[in-house]
Amino acid sequence: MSISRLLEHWKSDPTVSENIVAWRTTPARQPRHAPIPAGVHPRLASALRQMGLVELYSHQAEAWERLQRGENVIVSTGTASGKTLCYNLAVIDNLLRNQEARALYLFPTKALSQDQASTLRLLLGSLNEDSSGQAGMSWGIYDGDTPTNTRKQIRNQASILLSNPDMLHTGILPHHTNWADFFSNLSFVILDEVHIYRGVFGSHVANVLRRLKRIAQHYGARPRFILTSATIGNAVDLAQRLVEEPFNLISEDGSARGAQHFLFYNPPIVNSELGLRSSVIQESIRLGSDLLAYDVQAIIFGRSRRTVELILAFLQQSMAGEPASQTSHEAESLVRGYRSGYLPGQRRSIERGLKTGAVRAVIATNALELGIDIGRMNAAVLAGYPGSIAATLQQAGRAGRNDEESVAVLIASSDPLDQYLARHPDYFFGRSPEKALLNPDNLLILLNHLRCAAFELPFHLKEGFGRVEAQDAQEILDVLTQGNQLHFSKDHYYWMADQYPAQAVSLRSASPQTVQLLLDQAGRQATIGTVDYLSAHWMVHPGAIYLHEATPYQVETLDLEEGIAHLCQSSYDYYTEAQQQTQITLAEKLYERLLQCEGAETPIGYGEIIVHSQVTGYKKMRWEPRELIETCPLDMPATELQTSACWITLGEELVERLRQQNAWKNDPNEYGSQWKALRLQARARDRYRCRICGMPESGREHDVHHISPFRNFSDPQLANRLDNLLTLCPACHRRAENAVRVRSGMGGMAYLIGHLAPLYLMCDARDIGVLSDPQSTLAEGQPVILIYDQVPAGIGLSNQVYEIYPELLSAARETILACACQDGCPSCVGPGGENGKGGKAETLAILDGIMGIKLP
Amino acid sequence: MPSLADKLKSLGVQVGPAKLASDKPAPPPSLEALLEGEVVETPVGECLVVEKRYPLEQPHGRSRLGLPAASERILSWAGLSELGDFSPEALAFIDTETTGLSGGTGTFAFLIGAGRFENGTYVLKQFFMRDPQEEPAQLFALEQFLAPCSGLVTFNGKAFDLPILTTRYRSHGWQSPFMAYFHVDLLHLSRRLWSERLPSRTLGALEQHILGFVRDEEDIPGWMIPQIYFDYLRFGEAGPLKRVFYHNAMDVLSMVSLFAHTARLLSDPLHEGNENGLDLLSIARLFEAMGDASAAASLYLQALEHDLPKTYWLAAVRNLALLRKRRRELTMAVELWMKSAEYNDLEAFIELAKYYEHHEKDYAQALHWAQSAMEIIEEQAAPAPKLAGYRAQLEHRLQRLERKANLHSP
Repeated sequence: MSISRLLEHWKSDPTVSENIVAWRTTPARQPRHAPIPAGVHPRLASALRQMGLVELYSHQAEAWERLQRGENVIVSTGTASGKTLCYNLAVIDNLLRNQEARALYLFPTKALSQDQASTLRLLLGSLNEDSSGQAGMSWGIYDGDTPTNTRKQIRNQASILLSNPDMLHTGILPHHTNWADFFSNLSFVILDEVHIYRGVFGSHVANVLRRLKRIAQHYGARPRFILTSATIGNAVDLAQRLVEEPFNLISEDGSARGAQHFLFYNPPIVNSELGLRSSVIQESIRLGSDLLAYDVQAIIFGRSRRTVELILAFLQQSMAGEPASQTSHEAESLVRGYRSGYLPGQRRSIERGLKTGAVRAVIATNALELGIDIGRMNAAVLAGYPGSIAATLQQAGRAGRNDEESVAVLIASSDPLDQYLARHPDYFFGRSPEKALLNPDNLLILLNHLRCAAFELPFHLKEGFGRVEAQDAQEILDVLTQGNQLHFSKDHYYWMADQYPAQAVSLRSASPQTVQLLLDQAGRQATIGTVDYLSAHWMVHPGAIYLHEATPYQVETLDLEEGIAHLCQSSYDYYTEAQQQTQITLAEKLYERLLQCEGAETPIGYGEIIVHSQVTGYKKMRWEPRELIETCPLDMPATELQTSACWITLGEELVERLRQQNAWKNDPNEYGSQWKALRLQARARDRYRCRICGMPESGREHDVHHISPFRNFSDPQLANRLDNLLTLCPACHRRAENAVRVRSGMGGMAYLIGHLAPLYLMCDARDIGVLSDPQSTLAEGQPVILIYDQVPAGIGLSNQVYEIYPELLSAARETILACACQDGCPSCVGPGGENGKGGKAETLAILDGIMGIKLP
Repeated sequence: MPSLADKLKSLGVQVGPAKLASDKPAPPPSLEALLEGEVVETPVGECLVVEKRYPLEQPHGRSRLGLPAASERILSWAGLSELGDFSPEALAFIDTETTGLSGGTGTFAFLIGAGRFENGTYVLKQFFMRDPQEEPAQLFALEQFLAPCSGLVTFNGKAFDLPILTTRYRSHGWQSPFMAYFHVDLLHLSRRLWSERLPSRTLGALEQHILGFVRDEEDIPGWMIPQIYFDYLRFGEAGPLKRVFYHNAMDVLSMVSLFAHTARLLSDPLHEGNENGLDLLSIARLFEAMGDASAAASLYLQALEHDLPKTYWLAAVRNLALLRKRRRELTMAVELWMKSAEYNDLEAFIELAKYYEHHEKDYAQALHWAQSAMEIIEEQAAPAPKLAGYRAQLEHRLQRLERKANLHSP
């Protein structure tokens, strides 16, 4: 372990140290211990001692005390601080005192159940060893992977059942009569990693818990709840909304912790003329190679599956050249990928390799963000800001899972948000993690779970549902009765339909359909992975190169109906990039209302929309040097997300007023009559090659880019001077535009509303999409700002937008006025590009216009 | 303020016509008359029970309802040979009509048909809940009626009817009374017996091909049944229920008849004038699986007397030969392998090669059969994985045989 030597190296090498914009060191923390409480069952205490655990951390002891007093607790301490023992202690102690007692452990993923099962195996193994003839305590995993022939045994015997909310929802609660004994004796329910249960998923899980408590009550049990969470802004609030019972927070972390270095790294500028920085992938590979060279075991988080595979491929290549590992085969086993789409067996083997240390680096998506125990990780590299403070803390927390020194590096991408944070690291370090929000009373979610609950047990007329009052539940049950799903008789609602309602309700918004990737090799077929239905369109279209564990496969055929893609293995020296077109059309306008503020009237529309996406072709890109080989057209079916949306229309009058205030930047640029000739001149000067990557034109004319944005000039002639023009290929053009983006007021407002609306809709930011369109078909070509549900068929979020709009708008306005920034930052209308403008004044002008606030 | 229903409608939820539950007409007072049943009082409420009695001579298809005479073999197949001398009166035949096929606690068995033998007649009772509130009474009455019995006969009950009944009892906090009953599932037995001959093993197919029974036009397809009950509950439409009761009764009667038929078939496979070679082959396999090798062997021989299609003929010869081999009746086994070798049966070649190598020590003969086997494998265009396994073994055997043959040649 040479982490300190590596840090010295980074400090002394100017090509690294100059890019480090912030270096924070959290000093090592001494552990605070407490003796194993006297009340712990002697067999459990001795089993712990046998495992070398002679004392507890202070927070574990605190959890014990509170649980002994009969309180529900939520433990929110750092990664690897021994949260698991907080609940295992109470649960196993209880099981030792009451042979009949049962406990339910719920984990958000199947992988976590597997991981926690191995912890439990050790503890119970040690306990059962000295059971001196008494029956051993048993546990079992009950999820979609549990073989049918062992299910009955697990149902009947497991004292501790490990499962997930989805299985509880579709496989356990609707069959509770098979679990009569289990529910009758249910004394503890454990919910691990509850910060995952936010937004739509969280709202579903809260309702599954209402159903769980209802069934437990039917069998006369009233279980206690123990929750654990990563650091979030509102742990107790989240716990109480999820479980609807009072909770006590345990957050004083008593575990030991080594010093942690947090480095904020902004990639070096490679083209000073355009302000272009080296890519986040290149820098991840560079820092990753350093970590490998200094033998520091590391995890690298990519923001997408593609990023993961690209980093993986390059890192393995660079490793294969090193003398330490001569063969590429060795490099492949030292550096592994980890993301959704890998098969469970592969994942288990990678997890094992990480624990034993055989795997030195893993490149992962946030699939590994959850608390899967992968042992010693001494470094974490975040290739791009993960989107929230909470997620950043989670990923960085992967480093330093013990009391050794560790390092986390956040590499800024070229996105405006990343660049803003890189320029204002204090803003990043000063913010508290986001709150996790959910709304269990969302009408559609509630309705679906009332259907499931009525299926499980008839509803009594006077029966409420969690926090939902009986009369409100009854109103919905009456609608279901009208809809011929329930039958009301005397004083009960009975499920009376040939349906299994839980099957139709997915707790997670992702489409449940998947496409299997079949590898045809020497007449045999093997499944190498899966891809979800929607991603299949752009990831495994015919001709695509699909990277799996950095091995390229070519897709031969894709059958979306059967859900099968046939792949073949070969050596390809290129990768592919799908080209996708997205379009929004109106399916049905359900209402239009006028938002009236101080005499100003703004139309707000609501209706069903369809978000069409279609893969129209793909590009073959050579690996080294990076260049386009060819573009191939594709005939792929369009995918449609049918959902509901709410849009606010800026009327012509308002736009005209904004133009007069010089606050309207959405008209197309008028480059002037000379533009055509100037374009040709610039391209000829640059020999029809991209000035950044050198790619020659093929089939399509390259773009001509204004180095200093056109909008910055009042005189078009000055803007169009040849030395302000540059020939760029489309890809480089996009990157260049990102760096100098001039944000319009529309863009600023969409950004601001996208960030504020979840607060008022009580949902997660991922649950809604926000778009601005200066010429929208939703409003006869007028500019609109659109908020839509990111879930097929919608969950009714955008329908609440009309009601919250007045509040939302004034909150937006206050946010802008209160923000001390010059011209846009992530806290208000969003940052401009690194050299661009934020559009703060323009956004404020739009808000003033809608809210009827006259200029002073 | 839009109503909740309007709100849900605007969110895309299918909302039924604005018709209140109280709008539905009360069930006609003539339900008992219509279904020819009576309302039964129990300590946990009322339900409707329809009772029918059938003489055992009642024709049902080609034969009569009958009393299963010798069911030892069925019971021994079901792993219940210890029951030995049980009386047919201990058997209850049971079939449910449910509100759906998905199972789970929201699936009700609104009609349960159960029958048992009583003093030389067959008594069928159908327990019906006129309303879900009557379920406790329905279950209670069923339990009472079946109290004298100790075993259940069903058709697909293992996977369907019995789990649903258990769920129904448990959802009222009771233990299922049938946990201690032994159980024979006729579907599983029928699969063993008629998979080769019949394209499908539904009760309907068995009625048609095995029992020769034709239902009258009152019958109704099973998939329509849940909706008929829902319509009855919602709109008081009772008329179509009659057809559901008929369907349920016929299901139970066909089970009785099928049980009797199968019992006879298994206790004396040849007596029935069973001219079907495929059935004999299936019974032989069943007996072999049950461990009765001598009965199996004689049935294989009987089956071979019939004009079996080639694949079945080969299967019978192979099975019989292996049975002989296991019983160390090698001469007879060799005779059979020779027969199937005429049809270029690969496995027969291999067995013959083994026999001549290990028992006769006739390496030239053994080599001949092993080579023939190899030729067959090589003729295959696309080798199956199974063949690859054979091939490896054969290559090994050929090498060894050549060595041995050389050693022993003069």
